[in-house]
Amino acid sequence: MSSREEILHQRTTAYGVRLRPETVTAWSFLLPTLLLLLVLAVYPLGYAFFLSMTDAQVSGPAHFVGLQNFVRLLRTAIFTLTLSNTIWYTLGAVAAKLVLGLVLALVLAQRAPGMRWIRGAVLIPWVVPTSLAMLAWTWMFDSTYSVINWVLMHLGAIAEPIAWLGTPRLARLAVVLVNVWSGLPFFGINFLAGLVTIPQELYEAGTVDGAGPIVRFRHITLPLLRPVLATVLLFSVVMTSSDFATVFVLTKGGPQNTTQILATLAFKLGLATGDLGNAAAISLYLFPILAISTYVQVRLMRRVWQW
Amino acid sequence: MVRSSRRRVAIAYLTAAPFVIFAVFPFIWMLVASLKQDVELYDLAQNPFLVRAGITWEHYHFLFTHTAFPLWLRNSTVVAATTTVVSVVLAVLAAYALARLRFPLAEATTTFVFIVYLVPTTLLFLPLARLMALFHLSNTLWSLIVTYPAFMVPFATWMLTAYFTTIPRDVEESALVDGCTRAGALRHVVLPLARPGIITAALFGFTLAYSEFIYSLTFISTTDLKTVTTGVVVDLIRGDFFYWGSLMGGALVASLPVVVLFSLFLDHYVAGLTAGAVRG
Amino acid sequence: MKITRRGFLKAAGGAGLAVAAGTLRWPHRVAAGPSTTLRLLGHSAFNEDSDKAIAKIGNDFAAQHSAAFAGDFIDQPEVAAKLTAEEQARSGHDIIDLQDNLPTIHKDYLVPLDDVVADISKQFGNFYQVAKDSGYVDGHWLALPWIGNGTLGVYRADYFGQVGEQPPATWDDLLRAAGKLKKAGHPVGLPISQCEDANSILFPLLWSFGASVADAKAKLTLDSPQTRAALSYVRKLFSQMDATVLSWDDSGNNKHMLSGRGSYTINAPSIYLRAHREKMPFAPSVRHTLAPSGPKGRFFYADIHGWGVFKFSPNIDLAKQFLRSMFTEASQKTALTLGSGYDMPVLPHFDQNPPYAPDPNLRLLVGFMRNAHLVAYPAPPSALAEKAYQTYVIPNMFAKAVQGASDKDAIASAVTALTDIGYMK
Repeated sequence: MSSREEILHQRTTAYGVRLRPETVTAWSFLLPTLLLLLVLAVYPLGYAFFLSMTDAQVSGPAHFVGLQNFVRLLRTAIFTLTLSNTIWYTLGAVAAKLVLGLVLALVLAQRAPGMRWIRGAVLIPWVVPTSLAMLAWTWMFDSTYSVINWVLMHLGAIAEPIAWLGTPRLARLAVVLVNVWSGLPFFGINFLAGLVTIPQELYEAGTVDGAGPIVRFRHITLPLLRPVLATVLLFSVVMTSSDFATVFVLTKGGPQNTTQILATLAFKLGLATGDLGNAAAISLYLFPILAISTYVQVRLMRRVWQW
Repeated sequence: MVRSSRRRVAIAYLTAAPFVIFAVFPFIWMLVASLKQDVELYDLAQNPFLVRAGITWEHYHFLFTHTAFPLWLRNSTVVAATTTVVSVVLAVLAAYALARLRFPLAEATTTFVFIVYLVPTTLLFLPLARLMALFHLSNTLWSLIVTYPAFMVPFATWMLTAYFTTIPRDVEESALVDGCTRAGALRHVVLPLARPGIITAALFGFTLAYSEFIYSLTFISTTDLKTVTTGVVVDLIRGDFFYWGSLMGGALVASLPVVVLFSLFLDHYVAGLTAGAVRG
Repeated sequence: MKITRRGFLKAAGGAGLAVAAGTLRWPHRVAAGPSTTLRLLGHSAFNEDSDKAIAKIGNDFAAQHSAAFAGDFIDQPEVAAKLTAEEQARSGHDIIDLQDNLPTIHKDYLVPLDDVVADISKQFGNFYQVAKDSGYVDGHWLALPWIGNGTLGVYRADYFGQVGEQPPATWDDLLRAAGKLKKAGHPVGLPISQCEDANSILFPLLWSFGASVADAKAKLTLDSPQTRAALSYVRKLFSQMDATVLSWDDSGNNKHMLSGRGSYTINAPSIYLRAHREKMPFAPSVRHTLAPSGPKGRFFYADIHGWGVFKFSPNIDLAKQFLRSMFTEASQKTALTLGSGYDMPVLPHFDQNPPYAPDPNLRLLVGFMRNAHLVAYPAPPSALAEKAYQTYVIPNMFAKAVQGASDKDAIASAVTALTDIGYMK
């Protein structure tokens, strides 16, 4: 082993420090990706920052206003409502997906004939386009034709149709429910993938030591799942907090803006009423959430991979 | 022994049932709605679960002959497939460099890619619309093909970097010792070993591209150039009347390509995730 | 499984390449075809034949000018978003659909159409005031008014007969009938939710009680005894409706009526037209009446759709010619016939005997635009009014009130929302 390392080491240092072939190779491999990201992500992001510090409307001159948009937004009712909606929506949906995802993974880890197909079926909601699946949900929550209301009314549980998407609490519940529906498979399958890699011997050893299923879950499964848990959680926080299609198709932010989230409000103000500066500022409020997630994620991976 | 294994299987099915029903119910619902005649669909007195008045294909007929649905389906598939190929190729190169090669600024570069990966598309659509105009790509499928990799590449890179680190270095190093170049080692040694990871990244990427909504909504104006996600949602809703039968049929048919794709590669997908997951 | 997969991949790959090659030609800046294409962006009208009318006029025009015509019709709420995106991109359609407040919002990008309007006015007279309110911005015509949409009371004559009520002429009539109709299992229904229908019903309701969001100078006037009267009226009416009106989208009241459950709503003629077109069993009982009047009279709410031409369009002159061709006797006849009363003329000249006038249920619409108002009324159209409209400040105020908020709280939250948008107290 050590002799091979030496050979490799020699090969790479023989060219001198400045033009190590490994460096050249690395940069040439990375160049297309970096160029792409500079043009299509960094530049637009910079432009979004610039817009957010102006009072740009679709028509008329724009002036630099510094952080005024960000400050003023915090004093408007619709924005503070939207901000807290986004936070609660993200927390609620991610927590539900986390708990149910663990259960789902344990369920899917069982051995039974046809389990492959069960796994496949459970994965479907995550695979199909959200905006299209939302249409089915819209129809299921429909004010006149809701199948949920039909069942409840025929069971005698309610006398009058429920306004699922018209009552703040129920509409919020519905939006979270639908997000959980489409995101749960991602959690379940990733946790399953993590579960499969845990060596069976650990469980056997635990059983020998007299540990019950709950103790084994707490002391073997959870700690070993932690890296997967963390990645999936962070990924989901980002995806959920910046979600657009769910709310856009299902509730359009209603009722009374109680399901309005940052992405939909930015879209509405920026595109529909042409308030570009404020719209950019609204969407940039996602940034703190993202920055924290990124920081934690990068640190975590650094520890796991030991760069 | 037989009894206990039967019991185990029964428990497995019983516990899986609620999840399967929860996952699949909306699709069954789409199917039922899309096969009903309008008269029955909009009749409150009817049992919504049954198709009593006979199955009708008129909603599908409408979809395929009176709307641009077939074009939307084609556009989505072409865009998703093209961007998947491009993104996976770029990501393989980048991920290999990040996972395997030692070079100055490696850490900063990795961090940069991950940060970009976490920037949501909802933040970028306005500036990108401007950029597309600059490239004269507005209102063409190319505007999507050019922009989708911006979110697909970072994510595929992230996945593949995780996967590459699970491949033992020894195999590749023997190849290098035998006089292979890095590119050669990547192609002949690493790629075959990384197949499950690449398939997973490609599937994942295809899904992301196929489902994309907001860029397609803002960049594409012409009905014939729409992708299926925006075409169905934006063009099939007519003011204060939703063509529910056709909407449900459209959503169902549009979901099929990804479902078929996943059912073909399901084993690879789970295998790919499993290997990546330990490190991910 | 392996073979299937491989076979599938090969077949799919082959077919895919062929399709991709066909679909993805790199856009050439010099068009390959001989003709220019005039591209129009419209809203997919509630009445689908409206699109066909525009397409027909467009294709006829294109045939005469060796050009091609391409009309894209998309869901109304997405039109405004699309305009902004195209302006950011400085490319897209040549002719665009501008509703109500949009001409003033997008004024920087619009070609003045004063010459076009002058030609049309010379021939057919002046536009209705409500149409001018929308299209005439800062001394120039930035949008050529095209058609107006209005709302009527839609009721089921049979259900009203069963409870011994006449079609309601006033809000009080409606409230009295609503109680009886709810007991009969056929409640009346007006949307109190974040949708366009709710805006188009609740704004004129406010006006008919003597209330308004702002005065002619866009200064807030919402906090008034008249608004409180409107709130307490809607609270009473809500108790006689299904609670689902809080969740309705624009299709909510259509479904309410077309499912056979509902007895009354306020809407564009789309419910009436659809019931007849689909020959629904109860179609003969679906009738129209004017929307109810309040203590301060009856107020009509209108949406005006006009056509604008983008400054960055490569075909400005052709586009203007096309717009002129939309105001001929023949074009107007096509539009108003296919518009079925859903689309109403914006020029009094064409409103004297429109094609839908023989239908007694649609004759009510003749002259509708003479007294109709835009959402910004009594202020002129503005970005502020559009924001109030798009964020559903007024429907939300009513929704709060019917769900237990006091008049004071409901109004205060609406005033906060309006001042946040930029309205001055």
